[in-house]
Amino acid sequence: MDAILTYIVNVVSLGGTYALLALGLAVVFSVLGLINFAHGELMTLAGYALLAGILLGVPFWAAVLAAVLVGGVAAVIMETTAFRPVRNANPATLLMTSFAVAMLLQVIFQNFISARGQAVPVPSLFTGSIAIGNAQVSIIQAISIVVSLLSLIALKVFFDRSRSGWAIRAAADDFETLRLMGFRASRLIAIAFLISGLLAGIAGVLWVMQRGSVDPLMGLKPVLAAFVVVVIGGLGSISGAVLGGYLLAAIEIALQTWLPEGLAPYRDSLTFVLVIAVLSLFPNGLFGKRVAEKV
Amino acid sequence: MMSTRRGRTLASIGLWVIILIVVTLIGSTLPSATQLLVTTSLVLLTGVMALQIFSGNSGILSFGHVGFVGVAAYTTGILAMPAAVKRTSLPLLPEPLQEVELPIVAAMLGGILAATIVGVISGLVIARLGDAASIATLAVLIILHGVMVGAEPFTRGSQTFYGVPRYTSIFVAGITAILAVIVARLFRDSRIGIHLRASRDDALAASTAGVRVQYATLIGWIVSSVIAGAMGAAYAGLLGAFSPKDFYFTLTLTLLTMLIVGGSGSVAGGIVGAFVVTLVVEALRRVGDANEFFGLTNAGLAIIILLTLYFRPRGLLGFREPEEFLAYRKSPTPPDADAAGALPVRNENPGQTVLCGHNLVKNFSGLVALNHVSVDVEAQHVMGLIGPNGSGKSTFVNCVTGVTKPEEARLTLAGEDIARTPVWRRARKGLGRTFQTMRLFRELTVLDNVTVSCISAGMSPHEADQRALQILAVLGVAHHGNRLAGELPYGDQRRVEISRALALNPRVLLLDEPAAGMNPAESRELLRQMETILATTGVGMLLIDHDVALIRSACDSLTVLDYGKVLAHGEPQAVLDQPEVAAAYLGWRESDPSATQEIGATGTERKSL
Repeated sequence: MDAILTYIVNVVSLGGTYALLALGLAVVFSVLGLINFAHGELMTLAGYALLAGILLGVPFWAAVLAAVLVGGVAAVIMETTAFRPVRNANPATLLMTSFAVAMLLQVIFQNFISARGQAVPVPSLFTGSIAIGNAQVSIIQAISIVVSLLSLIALKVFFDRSRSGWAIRAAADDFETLRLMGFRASRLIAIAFLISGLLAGIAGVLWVMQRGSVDPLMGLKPVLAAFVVVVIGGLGSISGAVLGGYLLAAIEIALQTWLPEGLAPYRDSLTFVLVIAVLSLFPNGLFGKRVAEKV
Repeated sequence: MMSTRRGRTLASIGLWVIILIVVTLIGSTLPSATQLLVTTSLVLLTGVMALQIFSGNSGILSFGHVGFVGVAAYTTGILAMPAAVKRTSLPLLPEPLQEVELPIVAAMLGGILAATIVGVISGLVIARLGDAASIATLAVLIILHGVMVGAEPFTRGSQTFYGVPRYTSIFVAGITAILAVIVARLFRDSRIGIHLRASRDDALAASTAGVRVQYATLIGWIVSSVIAGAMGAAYAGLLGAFSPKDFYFTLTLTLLTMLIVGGSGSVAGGIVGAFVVTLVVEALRRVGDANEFFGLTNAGLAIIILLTLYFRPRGLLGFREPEEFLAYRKSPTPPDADAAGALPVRNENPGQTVLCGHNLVKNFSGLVALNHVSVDVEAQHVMGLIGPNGSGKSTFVNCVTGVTKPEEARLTLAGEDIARTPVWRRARKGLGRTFQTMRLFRELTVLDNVTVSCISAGMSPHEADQRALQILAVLGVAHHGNRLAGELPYGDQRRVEISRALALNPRVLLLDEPAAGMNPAESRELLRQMETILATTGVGMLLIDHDVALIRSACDSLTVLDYGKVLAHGEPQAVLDQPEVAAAYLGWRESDPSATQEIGATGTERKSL
């Protein structure tokens, strides 16, 4: 019983982070058709901003806020500098551009910050754990669950209630028509990147708080997972990204908890093999509708 | 010699083989440090060829190939390592493998085989995915990396795997690279290669030209996994000691940069890219070492990629091989004598029904686009299909060709039920079509656009070129043969699209507004060409157009659609004289003034409607 409770807590907290990352990817994909490889570096950047804030002696909540904002602003800058020249290019070119940007940022972090991980002193308030029944839930995990759920709800409200939110959802179906209806492409793209960056910032802060350190390659692993989440969810499907995030976490934590010792080294590979197996059954993702091409 | 595809391919292979032999021989006389650089670039060139075969031809970026390189490197290493060394370096290796000590060539083949097996398994999934394929290749890389790290008894995990004999001399590297270039160049102009390139430009149009996109993607993936395996087999003997991180993102970045800088679309681009980037990387490495700048080569590669994509997105050499570029200005040799006489002939009896489309129903989220529409097409006859914009004409063609799935339909082609047949097979069985908004393979030559269909019809590339040229001659565009389809004037692009449909040797040709955008003189010319086609091939035709003059003179019978329903059907003049038909057009004009432009082409015809 406790094992199951622990399992659920782990899934919900990791899945929440994956969902935030995947949503950020999905929002940008909707408007540009770009799968942003450098999304993980936005996360890393937010982590460094958090560290900088703490080292500068800023109150913790302010450092967190600043870190999230850095993620959002950096994403907008990334769009205007790196992605604008290839805005109308094919998906392969867009993906390659973002891959190059990611590699470049990693080298910049390695040289201008440090190649090694930096410890992030999280206030002791967040380091304990609370007992639920006989199961121990760390406070950071609890925070991570609450924050990711709140973010998802906020985003749901944004998509349902605001004009930009509607526009981004519509863009996932047909960006061209949306432009013909008078939506300014540049503004919508900027908003999409801002949201994407803020989500990466939140995910980055949660990730760093759980691990207690930040390093130049930190964003790579979670963002690779988020890529796969977006694909399982169905490229361009926003609700698919959220559900996919929890699904991947469920698979990953299950393997982590119950995989026989001998197979433990293959855990990541097995996770992705399962994902690929799902994809081979559902080539358009679990929740992706086949976007009928206009002919 | 350069006038045929085979001639060009062989000339190109000959040239590159000579260049690579010269590079290898000169390299072998150089001092060891410089020689090592040449050897490394030849090994990397092999990997670039693997990527060129798949990504260059399919347009799907692959991150997975470096995983194949790793699989082959470890396998070759285990097979080639002396048993005595294995006892210390790999003490946990299962018993039978402990004693294995294969000759180098056999070990390399073993490595290639391992990569190929992984390639076949992963390819079965990758080929099924559309937009998601690139990300799935990334998953392949992560899976293989995880296996390399996890399989400690075989690989020493993330520790350094050592003890592989350093058998990769510059000659081994040279031979491997030459073989890779030959395979890549042959693949590019093979049936599958041409089909794959068509799918890169427009997958949907390719399937209506008879291309099995998934199959072509799978074969491209497997062939490229073999070549990636060859790189791995050679790389193991070059490095002697390596770890899983040698087969991860840095190598991926290096190989992709080489491919993109030179131009992913051509073999020549890959070769040039491999050498150029090797030089740049070496220079950066020296600068980086001198200044203790961590990862300068990676940063340099990333910047090179960005600059290339911003300023020269097709790479230094672009999509075409140099020899193709040389042929660009020249018109192809015109086909012998009477081109029309060479058109494929379907021996259907005139008037016999070849295509039955019965009771087609299609809804688009509540909007009824087709409401129990039935249209038949007879051999050697032209069935006209007219109606206001949005009346369901194009949707009908899309449903018949399988591009759109109707809710209900009874479809037979020459008596055979095709309602559940995939798009590409319907095309091969005899449905040729054009699109209302043209969908040519814009980066392929005009000739290749048509050759694609001839290959679908079962010809070898050589026969296909001959036939394609004859068909282009019938449509009067053969002289454009070596130009890129995307750069032709609009009217000529329409003719190329018709040629592509005709090259399938179709039973039925479905032409969706072939005269749109043509001036009256061009329309008349097109009409004359269509009559030639009709008379010689015996094909049945479904013609959609707004040009009433064209419709009246071309069609044997006419169906009018309005709001997804058949409004009238019969002999053209009688149908056009019906008041409901005129009303449908009038109503359309009143409610949608912007559309008057479109009916403008009919000019004075409007009054008699």
